[in-house]
Parts: sequence; structure tokens; C-alpha cells
Amino acid sequence: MWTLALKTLLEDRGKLLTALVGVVFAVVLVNVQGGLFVGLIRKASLLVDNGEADVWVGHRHMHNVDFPRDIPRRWVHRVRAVPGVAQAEPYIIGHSVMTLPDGGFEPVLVVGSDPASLLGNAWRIVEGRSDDIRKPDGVIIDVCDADKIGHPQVGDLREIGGQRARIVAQSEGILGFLVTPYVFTTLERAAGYLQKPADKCSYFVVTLVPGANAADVCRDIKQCLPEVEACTRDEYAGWSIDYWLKRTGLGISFGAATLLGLAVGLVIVAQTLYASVLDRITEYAALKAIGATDRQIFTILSSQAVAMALVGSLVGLMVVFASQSLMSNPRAPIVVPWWLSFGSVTLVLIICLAAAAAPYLRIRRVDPAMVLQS
Amino acid sequence: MPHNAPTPILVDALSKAYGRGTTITPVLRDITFTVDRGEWVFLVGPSGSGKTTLLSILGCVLSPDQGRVEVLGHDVRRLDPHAASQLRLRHMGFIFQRFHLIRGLTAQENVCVPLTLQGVPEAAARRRAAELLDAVALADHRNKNVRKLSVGQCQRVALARALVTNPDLILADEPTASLDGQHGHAAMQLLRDLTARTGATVIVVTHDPRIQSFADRVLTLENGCLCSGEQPADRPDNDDSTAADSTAADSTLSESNAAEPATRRDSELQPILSLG
Repeated sequence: MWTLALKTLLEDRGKLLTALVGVVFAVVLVNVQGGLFVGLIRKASLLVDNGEADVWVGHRHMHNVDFPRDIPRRWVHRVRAVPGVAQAEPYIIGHSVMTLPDGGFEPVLVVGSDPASLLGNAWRIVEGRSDDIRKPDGVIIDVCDADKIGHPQVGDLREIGGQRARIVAQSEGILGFLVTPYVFTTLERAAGYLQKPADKCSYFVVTLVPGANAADVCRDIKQCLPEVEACTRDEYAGWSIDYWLKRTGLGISFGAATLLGLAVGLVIVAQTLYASVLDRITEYAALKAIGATDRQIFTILSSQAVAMALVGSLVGLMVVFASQSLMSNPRAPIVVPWWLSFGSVTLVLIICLAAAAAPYLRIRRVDPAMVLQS
Repeated sequence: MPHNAPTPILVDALSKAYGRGTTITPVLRDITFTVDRGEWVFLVGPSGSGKTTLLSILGCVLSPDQGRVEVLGHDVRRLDPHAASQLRLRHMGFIFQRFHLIRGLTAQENVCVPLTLQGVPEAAARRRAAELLDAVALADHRNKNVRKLSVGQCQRVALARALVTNPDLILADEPTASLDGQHGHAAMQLLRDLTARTGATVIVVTHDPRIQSFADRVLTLENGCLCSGEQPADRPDNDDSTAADSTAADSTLSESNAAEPATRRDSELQPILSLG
């Protein structure tokens, strides 16, 4: 049956090509749109995903990593005493303003980490070293934000919150969900830039001893410190993403565009299959006259639909990966996780099978007697 | 079909009409006849006389309005669509006027189609199809796309497809309409040769008087009635039949062949004739 289905499909090359274009279009649109969405939304949890902390401890109502509320630093000792905790350090995140050499200014998001452990410090350093923040007035900025802050070089000076800051290293690709540039420095210097009291911090970032269960440690921390929230890295990343998803409706706009792509793909495949069936209506009538059952006819059509879906998806994914390597950049990263590709192929497969329904219903209405009357 | 099998075709007081309400048009009226096993019966008559409708009822693709029709022991009116499909698939072979071969498939794949629908394993189906194509002198063309075959070759592929399941009943609708006289005669001879071993019953609807010599009986339909009863026909002998010496109809055939364009491929007829 497969031979019959595939060979008749290959015979109508023009129609096959049209259908494949539809499938490729749908797969590319879903993956690129989805990849852009994932890339964008993952920026919301960038610090959490890359901060190397297993557990985040913060204000009881914390909901987004970039918008913390102060907690007393002294509580860190109680966190360190919880079984399973290997290391717990205060961490500061806050909004300040950088003054530029030309008199201009730029809001920045200051990130202060413990200078000894450097837990939560900048990564992907392309110039200088991450531990250079220990140098006097040392800050790390990202090269992708250079245009916003006057293209500073390593060694250049800026002013943050009225205090001196020296660029000691540069990272590449640490761009947050907000357009505000990140500035990484030490805990104490960050507190200074943010005019934050010395006994306050934003979070405690916690690493665990090997084998410790993060959820159990979170529960123990909350028992020990009922005034705080403690959550695993994945949980806090999820919360930070949800914050933007729910408040911006971002998912709906990306989702609508993706659905539109799928709808276009569905229409093209359905139209092509239908036209192909109309072209061969007497052949299908002959098959029915010979004794083909409706189920066998559906098998032929669904085999054709599955073949189109699989070949189109394969070509589509190749186009997606080519687009990803050519177009993805830190500002607009295209992140295509495996589940997105798998999901898109599954969706396209279902759509193609659904598209086979219309021609199938048409063939069901075909009277096999027509081949004896022509 | 075993020897104690029921009469292949039994038609009793069959009537069929098309349309509804005041626009009902009777197509078949009070038709009664039977066909024995291995018999060749031709349905003839002018256009609109009901031949094709009758063939469609015998092929279980249409249901009679009145009367009893039994095909291979099955009451056609009581067959549900699935049972009718299975009866056609397992016990009948169809030869359509326009062949209705499947474009894109090779000759062999086309012949395999009924076996594939029966669920016969591909290797076995291909073997059987190859045998049939060999028998219709298309062994060298079995891997050719049917698009690339001549009309005569397509007809032989259609014959092979109709016979590949060893059917008990073969229904042919104007099987020679697309062929010139010589090729038409050769195709019928080939069909007779191939069915001689199986003893299949053959019903042929035709306008072509040149092939009527192959019939054991000719049933003439006019205005939906079996008006002339059963008209015996001279059946040419298997061993020495040719287009030239059978009947008056065949004489007409010879005359018409003389006027036909030279582009027709007479050479392809030779292997077929040699089978006889």
C-alpha cells in the first residue's frame, strides 16, 4: 500500500512540491518563531540559569530575579546551617544609573556577588577575567551593550550611582529581558552603587553538597527562616519567565503567529491532497470497483500525508538549523530546544493527517459505478 | 470456484430506475437470465439500453430496485458495501473501457494492486504479477511506467490485473473500445486463453460486433428490456481463430483495419497471437 501511495505521490511532482513548500513553511515558522520566543523568554531567567546557584533564597514574595526586595544579610548564617547547604552567599541585584562621558546616562542593572566565591558573577568573558571585579572599582559589562554606554574599553571609567566604576572585563551575550545593561561587580561595590544599606542584600545564592535534594533543602530553609522564600533554580527560572508571560501577553502574540503558520501549512497540504485526489478520482473509483475498502483508501491518503509531513519536516528542520546558525545572535537568540522540534513535527504530522480528511471524504462519496459508465 | 458452486449469475425479474418522484427513468425492466460457470456472455445493445447498469449490478456496485440478482451465490441486494467490496476483490476481475490503470505505477505494480488490496505479501504478489505479464507478452515492459505504454499494452496490463486474483467472474466493459479491430480481437483471444484454465465466467458489455464471435451467448438489451432473448453466437475455435475467418463481423473488422492508419503497432500483436 505504501508503494502505491508513495509512487502516485511522486508522480504528481508539481503538487508534491507545493505541499512540501507548505509543510516546510509551517515547520520553519513554528521553529523559528518558537525559537525566538524561547530565546527571548529565557533572558528573563538568565541570571538564574547561569548563576551556578542550586537554590535561591529571597523575600517571601519574590517573583522575578530582576526585581528583588531586600532581606537582612545576617540571615545568611542560618541558611548556611541548614543541612545539605554547601555554600550560601549574599547576592545583590538592583537598578541604578550609569553616567556617560558625554553627559548622557543609561539605566543599568547592577549585580553584586561575593568577591571570594564569585558565585553568580559574569560568565562568557571575552576580555579580561571574571575575578577582575576584585580590582578597585572593577565592573564587568557586556560587549553587546557597548553602544548603549559609549563603547567603553577595558580600563575606561564610568560613574554608577555617583561612584566611580572601571571596566575591568567584558562578557559577550549576557543580555537580559529588559533592555537595561547588566553591570557585574562585587557585593560591597554593588551596595554602594545602589545606595543600599550594608546589612541588606537581595538574595542568598546557595549551592548544595553532592547528593542533597534541592526541594528538601528549600523546605528546611523555609522552616528555619519563615520570612523568606526558598526555591530551586528551575523553580525560580520558571517564576521569572511566568512574570513576563503573564504581564505582557508575549506568549499570545508569538503563539498567534505560530498558529497562523500552521494554518497556512494545513491549507496548502489539504488543498494539494484534495487537488491530487480530484485529478485521480477515476483511479480511486477504479480501486473501489476492484474492491478497495474505505479503510484502504484512507491508508493510501494518510500514507501520502505522513510522507509529506516527514519529508517536509526534515527539510524544514534543516532550514531551521541553517537559519539558526546564520541569524541567531545575543540580541535575538533563536533557541530551538528538542521538544520544540519534536512538537512541531508531531503537530505538522497531525495537521497533514487532518488535511487528508477532506479528500478522503470526497473519495467516500465516489461511486465506483462511475468507472463503468465512462 | 468448486464444481458444486452455485450458478455464477442468476437474474430474476430485475428492474432498475434512476431519478426520483416524477422524473423516474426506468433503465432495466423485468430482466431474467442465468449464466453458467465458464460461460462467455456478451451484453449488446444501443447506447442507453441499460447494458452498463446491468454490468454494474452484476459487479455489485449498484443495487437493483426490484427482482432477485445472485452473483456467485450472493444476493446483491443483501450485500453491505464492505461485503460487496470483498466479493469483488476476491472473486471478480474488472476490465474497464478506459483501463483506469494507476499513473505512476509500473505495469507490474498495477497488476499487483488487487493482490496488495487482498493483503498478499509483496514478493508473492510481484511473482504472480510477473507470471501474468509474461503470459500477456509484457515481460520486457513490466518495470515501465504505464504512462509509457501504448494503448494495446495498457489493455494487456488491464487484462493481467483483472486475472491476477484468479477470479471466478470477469466483467469487461467495452474492453476493445480503445483498440483497433486487430488488437481488439487479439485481446479477446488472449482473455479466452487466460481464462481457459481457470474456467472463469466472463460477461462482456460491447458495441463491437467484431468480437461477438467470442460469445457463447449474446444478450441484446433495448430500452431496458432483454428484447431478443438469448442469441447464440459462433464461437471461434481456440486453435485456429484469426480475425479474418470467424464471422461476418470479423470480415467487417478486416475491412476496417485496412483503412486504419499505419501508426498502429501491429508488431506488438504477434506475441499475443502466438499465445493462442
